[in-house]
Amino acid sequence: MALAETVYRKINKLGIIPKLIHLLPKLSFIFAALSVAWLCYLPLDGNYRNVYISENALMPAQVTSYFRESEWNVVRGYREEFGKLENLSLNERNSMVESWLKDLNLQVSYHNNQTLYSIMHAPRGENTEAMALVVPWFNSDKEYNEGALSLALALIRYFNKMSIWSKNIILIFPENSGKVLRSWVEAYHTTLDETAGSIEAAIIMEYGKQGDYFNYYQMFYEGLNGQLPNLDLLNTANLISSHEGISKSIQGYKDNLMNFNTRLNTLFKGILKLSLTGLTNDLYGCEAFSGWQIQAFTIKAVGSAGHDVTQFGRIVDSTFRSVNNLLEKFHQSFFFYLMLSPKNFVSIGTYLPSAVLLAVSFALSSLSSILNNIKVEMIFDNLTFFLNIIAFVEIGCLIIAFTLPNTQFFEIGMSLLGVISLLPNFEFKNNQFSFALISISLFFISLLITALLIVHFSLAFIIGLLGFPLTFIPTLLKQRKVKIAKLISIISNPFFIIYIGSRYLEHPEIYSKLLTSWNDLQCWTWFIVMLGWFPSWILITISIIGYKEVDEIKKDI
Amino acid sequence: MSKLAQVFLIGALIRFIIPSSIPSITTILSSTVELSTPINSFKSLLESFYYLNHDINLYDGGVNHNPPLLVSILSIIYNLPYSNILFNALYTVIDLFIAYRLILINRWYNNYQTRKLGEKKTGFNDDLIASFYLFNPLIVLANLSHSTTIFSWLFTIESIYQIISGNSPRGMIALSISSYLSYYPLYLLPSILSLSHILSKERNLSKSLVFGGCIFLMSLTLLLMVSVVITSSFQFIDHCYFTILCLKKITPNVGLWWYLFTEMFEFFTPFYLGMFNLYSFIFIIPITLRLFEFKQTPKLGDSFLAIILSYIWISFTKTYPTIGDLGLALSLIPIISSTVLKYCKMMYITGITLIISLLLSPIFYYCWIVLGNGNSNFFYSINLIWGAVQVMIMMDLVWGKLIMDYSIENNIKSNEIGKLNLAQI
Repeated sequence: MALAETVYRKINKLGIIPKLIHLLPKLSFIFAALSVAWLCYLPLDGNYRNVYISENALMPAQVTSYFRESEWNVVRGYREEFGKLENLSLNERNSMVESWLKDLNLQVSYHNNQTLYSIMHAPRGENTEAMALVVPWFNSDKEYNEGALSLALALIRYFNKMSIWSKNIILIFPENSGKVLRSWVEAYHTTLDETAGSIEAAIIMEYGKQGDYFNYYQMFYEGLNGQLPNLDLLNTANLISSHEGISKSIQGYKDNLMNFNTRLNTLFKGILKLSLTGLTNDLYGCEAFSGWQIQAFTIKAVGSAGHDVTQFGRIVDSTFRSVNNLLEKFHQSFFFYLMLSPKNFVSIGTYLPSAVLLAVSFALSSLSSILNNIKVEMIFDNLTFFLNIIAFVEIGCLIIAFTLPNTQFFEIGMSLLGVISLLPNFEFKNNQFSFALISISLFFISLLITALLIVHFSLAFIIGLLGFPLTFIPTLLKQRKVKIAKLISIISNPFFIIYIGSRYLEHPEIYSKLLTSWNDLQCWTWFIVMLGWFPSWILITISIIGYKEVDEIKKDI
Repeated sequence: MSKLAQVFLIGALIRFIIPSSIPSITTILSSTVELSTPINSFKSLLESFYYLNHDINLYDGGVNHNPPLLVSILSIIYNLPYSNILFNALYTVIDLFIAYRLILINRWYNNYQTRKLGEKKTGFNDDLIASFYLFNPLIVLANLSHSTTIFSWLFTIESIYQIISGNSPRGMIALSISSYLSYYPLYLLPSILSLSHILSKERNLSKSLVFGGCIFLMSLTLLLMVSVVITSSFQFIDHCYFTILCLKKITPNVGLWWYLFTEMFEFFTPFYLGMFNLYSFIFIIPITLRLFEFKQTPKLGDSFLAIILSYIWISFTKTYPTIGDLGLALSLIPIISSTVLKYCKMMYITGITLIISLLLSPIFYYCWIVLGNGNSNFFYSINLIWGAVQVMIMMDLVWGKLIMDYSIENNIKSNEIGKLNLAQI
């Protein structure tokens, strides 16, 4: 205890605590700045790690794939036939594919009479595990997915000839990678009769009409609600393609040119993408598998020269061979990571301090709002008032969250709320109420970030960053700069930010998707915004309105 | 309507209306890992009613861990029409009763401390004490999940009440019922005995210990014998008590045991079972002794605080804890607000840690079990924080008590103690 005692006495003697309390607003800002700096620091050499295969059983690229030039003719043949189907209706296309699959002795089933899927039962398996190969009829660019469709048929024909499979292979042909696929995945786990056991991994193929050759592939892996596939699966596919000499890109940055800038951009684009998955029109299919313990990624062929189409097929073949080796579910390697390039990543332990710093920053400015302006006892004396107002706002938001119609009017209305809400004129009994309410709201945001910290880092980070201007408000109010406080309140209205942000990112659909994504895809970002971020903003705005500009600050604190 | 009546009414409405209008809430909550363990889950109680009604041995299949008397008495309600509603009513009434007892205990405590210390001690009002229990979210959740621990709480609180109202035999009987229901209240015996000794006129310590202990043992034996008679086997002892003692059902809960015993080589299990059980009991003795109100220094002890500390220690070290266990402790602590609590200085930090662990616990469990991207370490890390919260509360209370004793011994007024900046005693 002697050391603790010495430190304690020293702190008291030097009066460090009052000084710290006075510095809290600055500390809060420094913490937030450090949070962003931390992320920017990660792409520097030595801070990130090279990818590696953690699960020994995978043994990627250890087998010779026989899906070679001899199969190329098969692919060509199927492509010729698929080319004729492009303008037919879904049912006609499905019945054609059905007949081809039946020629290969495969059973065909339908979900909702529209999504065709076929199960290839494993000759050596116990029929309890499966891998899924998904080929949407139209890919994420709305292009007819001709290459991938023909590859899929050629691949299943080739798989069917091999006796090594110990996991079933499911081939799925959804109309696109959006809601249709999501509902198939849900039905697979709930209502479908023909199933093949738990799906360990899923690959979504996109290969448009570029013909026999492609240049490199893009990989998409972001799931809904912050979920990511096990890093081992991505590494397996990427390692296999490296052995084939194929280059790949993540977030638009290819692996042949990597430097600090590309790593930094990949990092931040990844964070943005992960937090917007399900809210934009860019659906790649991998997000459809989120929430069912299925590791999924999408590979999309780009360019029309360089590698041949069977090489694309070999990535799938070889990856399936690796997954086929697994004796347990994917559990090694990482589920929480940020990619810096196809070959580099940072794991959760390395990037987490960033969000923690942000949460601490909000907590500090919440503390500052109390300690610098009011007596703590005051909150407890008026606890009923605060509980009532918080419950009222929160229940109001809850009702809106569940009942809101999807209208264009809403979009603008919510954004204008920032301006409208500052028009009414009422005043609290005294200004302490404002500070107390702001403090509670900032603490609430801090808790929100803490809650999302692990499960959805990207969203936590982005909400923290966008909501950060709110932490200036107590200081501004104290300095009597109420107009600036009001301005900050207007521009940090969550819906205003989302509106501007969606226009800036050229994804104007984010707004309406935010409302529909829960029903369509079970993406809960809407509830986070509506029950976490928005109520805090409302409470802060209320406290700005209730603030008396002429009130004398009581110096008895 | 008086404030107290309002508190009771709203508390009752929350507990009765919510589960009656949304019956699924009980089912959902009683499947929540933080609220329900194999020992106290309402589901297994319902299962045992089914066994009872179909003449199946209550302990076949290893689902039921409730003692036979509890099952047979509650099955009377189960067999009535609208048993769901009746159960809601029963749980509501029990909670209101506990709240009422807490009010009485609070009144007694302040009177007693005023008499003992010779200065006026005023704690919280009746309505506040009732609110601290009835609106405590942890208690509300435990109640809505229809956890069977509540019966044990009822008799523990009743036991304290009987002791302070001067009827120590009844207190001992209540404590024995409570121990019969969930084993762990047995560990409260030393501190409750010491409280009963302080309050009784008997000056001979060993006499009152023997007297109280005998009544406790006799009623406990009686209960066990009746249970043997109605089940005509000793099987229930294994299923109700040894399951708890030996952690026979390793499932995740908010406690500290399950993870270690999952990870451990089986070879070590008996040794660590012994150690853990010893650990969860042995600290009860020093707590009781240190806070005993000895004849020489009657002002320095506080046997009621000893009960609270023992209770928190039990909820920290028990095999199948739920968040409700700490909830009850948190509702007991306001009673000592006039004495120890005002010297505590970590309350805010503890409070925030508590909120964060409550927030993250279900999220990490979801990551582990549903999403599959987390693992048991995630959940257990929050269990450790949960444990830390209880240790922090205990440390804070002990610290508060030490400072209070220091101020009494040195005649320092309570408003001056803050200026001393005590760092060590």
